[in-house]
Amino acid sequence: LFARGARDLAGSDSGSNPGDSGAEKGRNSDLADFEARLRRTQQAHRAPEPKAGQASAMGVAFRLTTELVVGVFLGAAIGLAIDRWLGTRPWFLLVFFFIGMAAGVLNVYRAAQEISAQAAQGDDGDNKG
Amino acid sequence: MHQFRIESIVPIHFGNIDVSFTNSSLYMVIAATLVTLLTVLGMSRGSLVPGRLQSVAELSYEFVANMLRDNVGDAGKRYFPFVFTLFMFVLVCNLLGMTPYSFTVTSHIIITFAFALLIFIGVTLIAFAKHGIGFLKFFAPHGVPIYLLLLVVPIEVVSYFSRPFSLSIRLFANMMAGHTVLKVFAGFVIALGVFGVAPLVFMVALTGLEVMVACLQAYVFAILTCIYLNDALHMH
Repeated sequence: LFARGARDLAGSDSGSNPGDSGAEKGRNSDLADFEARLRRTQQAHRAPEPKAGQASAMGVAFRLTTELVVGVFLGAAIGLAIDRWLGTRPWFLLVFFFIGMAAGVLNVYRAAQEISAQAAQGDDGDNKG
Repeated sequence: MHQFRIESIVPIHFGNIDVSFTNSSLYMVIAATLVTLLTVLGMSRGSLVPGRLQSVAELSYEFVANMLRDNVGDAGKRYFPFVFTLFMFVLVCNLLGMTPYSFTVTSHIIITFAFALLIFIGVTLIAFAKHGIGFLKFFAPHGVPIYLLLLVVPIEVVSYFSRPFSLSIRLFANMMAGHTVLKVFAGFVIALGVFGVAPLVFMVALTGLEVMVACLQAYVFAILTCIYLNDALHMH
């Protein structure tokens, strides 16, 4: 990206230096300059920017808690529903309770990964900026 | 508590179904109107150097656009109107709830759950439209032996189906808990007489925190929508 920017800069410089040989030439260099600037702006638009908002510690804690609790409860609910449907209480409840726990832990793990990735990205942006 | 009670303003009955226009509907209409006014009035001038209203409109536009680009990439541009509408609506509903005597739409689970279910169904449909039946591979991470799939697939499916629940419960619980805490502390102010100054000071700080939570939860809601969209489009 930096190399690209430098090349753009160099290109625009060399384009505007010999601009004294006529209006035609001048317009061409203006065009080249505009192209370069346009490309740079587009590049900046496409590059990922650091995240603006950073979750507070309480927000993180709350998010992880809901992920875990929802997993367990949803597992138990699915188990109960299947049991009621097939009349096999409590076997599906037992199985899906543990599956729900596993899903809850998986959710927490993924949420934590996302949060730490976001935090790392934010730190990166701070260092550069 | 009184602030969470739903009261019908214009009673409408459709057969046996109660579809009355309630205070909840009223605040949703207000929120939608405010967002529309902000974007339409803000951009009506369209000046090169933005005024205050135009600045707010442009900032919110860019905020959501960046969020979508960072989390979904170029493929997400198509869904910008949806995410923007969602973010602005939730944000304005949350913030409207912070004005005294108002009703907080997002403090009711049925409303946040309706949002979350809409997102969940929409994202799942997008995923199936994009990948066809191959989206089912999303639930079976590759490199897992067959006998473990028996265990992993149900876990992944439950994990996937827990998304609308965690999405809705998080928003609703944050809003409701915040308003309840404010109410409880407000009760202390009266009960403690002269010493009520202490909880009053605390409440001022807490109100600031609640405004932050209102914004943060709208942000979290929108960013999780982006993450789910990304999963649907790219199947990580």
